[in-house]
Amino acid sequence: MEVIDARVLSREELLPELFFIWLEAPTIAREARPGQFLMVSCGVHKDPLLRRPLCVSRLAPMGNGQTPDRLALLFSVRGRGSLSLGQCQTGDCLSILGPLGKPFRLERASRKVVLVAGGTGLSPLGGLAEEAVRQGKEVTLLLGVESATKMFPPRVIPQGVRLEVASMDGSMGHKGLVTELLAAHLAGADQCFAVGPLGMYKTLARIRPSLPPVPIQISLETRMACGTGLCFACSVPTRQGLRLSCKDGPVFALDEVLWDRL
Amino acid sequence: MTLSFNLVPGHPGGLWLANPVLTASGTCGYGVELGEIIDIQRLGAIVCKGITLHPREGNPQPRVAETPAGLLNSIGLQNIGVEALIRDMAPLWASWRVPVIVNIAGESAREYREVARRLDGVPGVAGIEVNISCPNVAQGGMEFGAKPRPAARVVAAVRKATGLPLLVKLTPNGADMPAVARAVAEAGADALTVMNTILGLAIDTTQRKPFFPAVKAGLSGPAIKPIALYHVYEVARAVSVPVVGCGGIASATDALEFLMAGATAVQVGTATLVNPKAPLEVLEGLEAYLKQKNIADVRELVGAAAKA
Repeated sequence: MEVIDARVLSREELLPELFFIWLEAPTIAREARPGQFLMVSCGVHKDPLLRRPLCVSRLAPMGNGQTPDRLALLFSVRGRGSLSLGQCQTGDCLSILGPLGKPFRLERASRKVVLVAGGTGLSPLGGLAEEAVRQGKEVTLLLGVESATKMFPPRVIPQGVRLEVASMDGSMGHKGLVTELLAAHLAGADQCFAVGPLGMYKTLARIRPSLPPVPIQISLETRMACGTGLCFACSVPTRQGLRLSCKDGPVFALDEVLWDRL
Repeated sequence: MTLSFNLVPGHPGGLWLANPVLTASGTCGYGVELGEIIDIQRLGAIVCKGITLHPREGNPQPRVAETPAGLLNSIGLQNIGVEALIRDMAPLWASWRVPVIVNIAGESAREYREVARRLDGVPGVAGIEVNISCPNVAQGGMEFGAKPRPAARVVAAVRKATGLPLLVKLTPNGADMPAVARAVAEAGADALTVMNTILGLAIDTTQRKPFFPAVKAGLSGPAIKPIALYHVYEVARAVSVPVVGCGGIASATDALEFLMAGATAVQVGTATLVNPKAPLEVLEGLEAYLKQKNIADVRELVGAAAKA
């Protein structure tokens, strides 16, 4: 784990208030695994005071090498911090702390994996999909968006995956929740990874008994202050007692979390 | 250049610290967590997360909210309990160079006394910080610290239970701080930590209800620095025991202000949550200042702005 000033290599506003930013961060990128996160400074003069937790979305080498030395953030504006962060320019430096938390546990032996992304839940799953494809696994990505106009541009959709889209208004793919696609795709899968809003996880927990018994990992970010296990803000009630989202997570087994207490 | 000093000159055994930069309780876990990120052995002391007789789950989510240059928290003293602390943490601390001061809390004077009694003589525990100022628990905590008599009663009970150096962490909420400070000093406090968080509130305007399930919360961070500084100045003039400044300290300049106002040491808290290196940066900045100004002993600065 390190604190570094990472140079902004590129910044794109993919859709209104949806940003895709590449950072030069060799020391962090070579340690980071899909599912881990960074605490990113978004303020000047102590305002906003706190860093914001953001998943590592992609890892890549700058040139032809094998070792990743840059990383991407994919996020939408949720408040003052992310709004300010989205305004950064190429060449700016962002203070980042990471990599933090536990990554996804992608089993070598898994042949078929299903990824479920609710909106910007695509962020960490993009990197995980690339890793799984590299390992030769069969990857299905179920992606839920509000509508066709909110669909992510092709360049942030991981390559080599089978993509199924659900939209709330039916303007693209299945009409309804992305979790409704799961039952049809989970059979035969070895592992499932789901990232999205809290409501999506609660839905998953509710429909869980009707789904094939494939292990499901989720990424849960309860509200954090430090991101490093110091303040105990991001407690998560689990079957093994309280855990911290920042240190013990953000990746948890779906079945481990006590969803009715969140 | 001398940075080391005795934190508790009135205590028979004393407690010598390598420098006046400490961590604040609740912002470094049990020290172990911060130790995974920075070299904590260089610090003056570690003040660990508030501990109670029995383990506590703390408050439900959400537990933190950001404010302009500040942080509201409603953690609610989530902790592993004193027995697990003695079993799992103290043996690690015993091997450290940096002393660890254990922050303790309770719902009754008896509970404070019992926690202190169990910590007495435990290798690895260098001192106790009596927390009579936590705003985030339903019972105990701050209500002891708001008035001189209940505050003195808790401190006297703890004093009887242990020979360890005692710091007492005061609350600014509803308290005449100099009066409480005098009462707890008389009851056996070896030093005072000024101050804990300031009571605050946040409202969820969408749901038209308080943001925190426990309603109230404690405000910390740069936003409260001038208030903490004022209380340090006032308390340091009211008592002869040392005062440890705490509240919004994020830089060496902040630390210098507290020393000059009358604090003999400082605790870095919320700043560490934003930047884990903050306590070390405060220390390095302090060293650089002493060198630049050719000051032989950091103690020359203590109260420098309060002497008039």
